[in-house]
Amino acid sequence: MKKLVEIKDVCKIYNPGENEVRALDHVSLIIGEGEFVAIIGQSGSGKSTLMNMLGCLDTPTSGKYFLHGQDVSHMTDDEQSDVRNREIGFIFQGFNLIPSLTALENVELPLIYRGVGKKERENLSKAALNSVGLSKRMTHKPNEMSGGQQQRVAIARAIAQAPPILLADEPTGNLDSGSSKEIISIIKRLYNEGRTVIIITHDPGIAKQAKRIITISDGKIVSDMMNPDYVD
Amino acid sequence: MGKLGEYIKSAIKQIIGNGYRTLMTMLGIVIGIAAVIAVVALGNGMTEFVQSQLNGIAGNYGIINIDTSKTSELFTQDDIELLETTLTDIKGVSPEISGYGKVTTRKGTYEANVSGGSESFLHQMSNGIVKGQYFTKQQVDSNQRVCVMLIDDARKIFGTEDAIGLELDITLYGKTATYTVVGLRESMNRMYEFLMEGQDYYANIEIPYTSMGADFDYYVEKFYSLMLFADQSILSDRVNEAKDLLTNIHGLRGTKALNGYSMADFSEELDSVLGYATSFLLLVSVISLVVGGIGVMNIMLVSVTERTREIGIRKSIGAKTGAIMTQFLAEAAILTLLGGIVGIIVGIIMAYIICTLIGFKVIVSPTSILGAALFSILIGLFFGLYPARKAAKMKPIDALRL
Ligand SMILES: Nc1ncnc2c1ncn2[C@@H]1O[C@H](COP(=O)(O)OP(=O)(O)O)[C@@H](O)[C@H]1O
Ligand SMILES: [Mg+2]
Repeated sequence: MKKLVEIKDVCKIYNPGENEVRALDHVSLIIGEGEFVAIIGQSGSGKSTLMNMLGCLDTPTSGKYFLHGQDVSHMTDDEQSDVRNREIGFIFQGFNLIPSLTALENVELPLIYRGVGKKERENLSKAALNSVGLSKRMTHKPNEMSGGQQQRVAIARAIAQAPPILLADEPTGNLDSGSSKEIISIIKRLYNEGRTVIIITHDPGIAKQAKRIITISDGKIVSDMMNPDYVD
Repeated sequence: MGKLGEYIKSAIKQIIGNGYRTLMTMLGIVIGIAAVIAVVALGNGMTEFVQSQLNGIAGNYGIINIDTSKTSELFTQDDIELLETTLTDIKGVSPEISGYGKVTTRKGTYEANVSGGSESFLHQMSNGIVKGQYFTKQQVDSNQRVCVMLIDDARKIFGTEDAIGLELDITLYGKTATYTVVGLRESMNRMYEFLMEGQDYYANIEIPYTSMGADFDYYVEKFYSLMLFADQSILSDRVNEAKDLLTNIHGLRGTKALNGYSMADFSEELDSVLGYATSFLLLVSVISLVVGGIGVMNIMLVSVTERTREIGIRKSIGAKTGAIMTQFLAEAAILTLLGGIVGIIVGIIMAYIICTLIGFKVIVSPTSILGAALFSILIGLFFGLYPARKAAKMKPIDALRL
């Protein structure tokens, strides 16, 4: 298995000085290509901070982050934008769709930033929306859709430009249980299609569906094991 | 290029989506651009109007004076002949003498301004002869008692426009002589009426300077000043040449005893005064544009704050600094360009209304329209720069956390 993600001795300290918060405290972690990892921990344990680090949305206070063996932790803003665009598909708890754009336009955005031509962009986006079962909702705006549908648009956006990594931060946190099941099954399918999936959750029920479970507490990894209950 | 098209498209969407606010933001630009267009048109119209009216009254002449405190020399009949033969493309040279007195016709007695000149004196006004003809060189040389006046004056003092051949008594300095009307000039324009308004009426009578000398004891062998008539385009050159010629002939080099000035100098001066007036108004409109621009900046800053999350989302999925910059700059520039276009239309309408009401010709130059459009885009880019930078420099994580 090839190394995809490698973080070495990473610390993230908020408000350095008197009431500093060590959101990540000397964390080291390797994730290989094609893994299905759940990162679980209580609220405030540092899961989102770790995800922001993995997603190149934030830079570590100390330590290093290698993606495909390339040090991305000290890149310029624009280089990091490029890495996010090419390598990572994000699925956020709050969907993070742009309210003024239709489903299709939202999905097209990362492709625009990559410079994909109009025709190809449209085809890719439609295919992505199709694969999450939203072919009939292309022209709807986010506020015209349910939470589950919005999250599916967000997934379509994350996979449209076919990045190797899917990063999901509490993807079902704002959803009812029915929609949650749907989203999790889509994420599982994407994993089965060959993507590396990292899902962050505080819900043991969801974590149990992943192949590997990493537990984090107070900014430290306290356990990292293959899921004995995993079923394909 | 394809990307820019996308940014512009999304900017237009954003602007339309913000309907009411867009209108309010644009208002400042609309007013500013409309003011610029209207002011420039008004300035052009005013300049054109004043120019044409002045040319209409004054004709194209230059005057050469002798300063009698510096020399005892005076101009002579020979000087006139010399100038007329040397400067071949001028219309003529004439002495000018004048006096204020009275004229008496069969209808009554009126105040009168009597001027004496040669046959070239025809050109002292641009109003041509519409009845009869101007007095000739022969009539001048033989001291004939003939006169020319405006058709308006004929109507006033004779009660008819059919005044050719009628007689009137001219009284100057206690002496009276009877003259015959041989020619009538075309009516005056509105500028003249405006200038004369409120003044007591007097008739303007033109007679040969020779007769004026013979009948009213004017000294007409020599003159203090000469009038030179030529087309506007060559006038000031010819006046200077005539001045140099006369300076040499009278041996006045280095004395500065001769002065020459022409209507052309006067209208250049007037042009620059009108230019200042227009520039001042333009400055005021540009200030209003800058105020409009600050309004745009303000709205863009509000927009950046409101859309922080959107910026974070865009960055998280791969938007670079340049992409966000372009998006916000495009928005600001399109906003101000739209304002500019509306402003141009409003400005042209204003220019038409105002110019027509005042009676100016409406001159809206394509340059001012194009300039206004470009300028409005520049305002958007300039005042959009700070908000756009602010948006583009946001860290994705900070923008998303909100
Ligand atoms: N921007 C921030 N400034 C200060 N403290 C922060 C900030 N973001 C997160 N934290 C703190 O860091 C810790 C980890 O936060 P987070 O990674 O969001 O936890 P989780 O996602 O596991 O709930 C928490 O104590 C939180 O209060
Ligand atoms: Mg969290």
